[in-house]
Amino acid sequence: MELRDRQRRFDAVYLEYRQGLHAYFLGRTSDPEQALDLLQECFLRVWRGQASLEALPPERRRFWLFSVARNLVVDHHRRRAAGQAAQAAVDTDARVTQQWADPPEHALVEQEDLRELDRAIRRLPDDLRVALVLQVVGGQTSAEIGEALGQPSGTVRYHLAQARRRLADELRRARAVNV
Amino acid sequence: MTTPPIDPAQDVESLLTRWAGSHRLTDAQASAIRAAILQSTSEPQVELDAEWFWGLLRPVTGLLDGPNQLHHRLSGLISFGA
Repeated sequence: MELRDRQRRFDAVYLEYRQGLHAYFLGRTSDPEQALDLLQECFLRVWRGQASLEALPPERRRFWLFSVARNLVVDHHRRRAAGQAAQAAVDTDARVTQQWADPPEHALVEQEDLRELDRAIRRLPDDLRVALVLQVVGGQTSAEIGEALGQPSGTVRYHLAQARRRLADELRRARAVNV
Repeated sequence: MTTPPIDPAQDVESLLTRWAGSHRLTDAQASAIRAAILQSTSEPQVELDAEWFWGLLRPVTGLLDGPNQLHHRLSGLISFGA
């Protein structure tokens, strides 16, 4: 009974934060597979630290969860730096190329635009990319992103606008080259 | 040769929507992750049964500890061969 109750409370947290945390990991790693692995590891830690999380006032919980996520990403980058960065980048590029190469319903130009967008998102500075992916993939508002990252929402809005402007510039440049 | 006319803001927004749609966590992925977490946290910790382990090793320890110790027999064979 106690376990079932604990699972029910865990599910509520999982349902509320899984999209946002997944988007955070995607934004920080640019690797869909790693993002899923990190999401699982993150919620495993949430399960273990459930009492700590529940002891916090609701307005502090988002920051606590994203702090756990941040630590996991730091560990992840440390492991990658220990020798696998180059190979992982090659593997990721191959996966992304494959992902965009398949869908038959997209016209060729649109596929190329999506590939270019993907590359441009990867090239964004970390803070711009994370804010953008949290918004468009995670469905988070500027205020929620600010709470998660410990930034004022005005800063988040500025990052979001910067990210879009850079992406538009990169797409325009890429199209000019391809014409 | 001219660059095709585009509205960068609208274009980026529409591409971002499609990009985000293909990267969003799916229900199937979310369910699989949840199941893996709950399974790993509900599995009982398996402790090593020392009696069982020594029983498993008995044929090996018998060769080493018995009256006809293995190393004596092997050294006899080696000197015979030499």
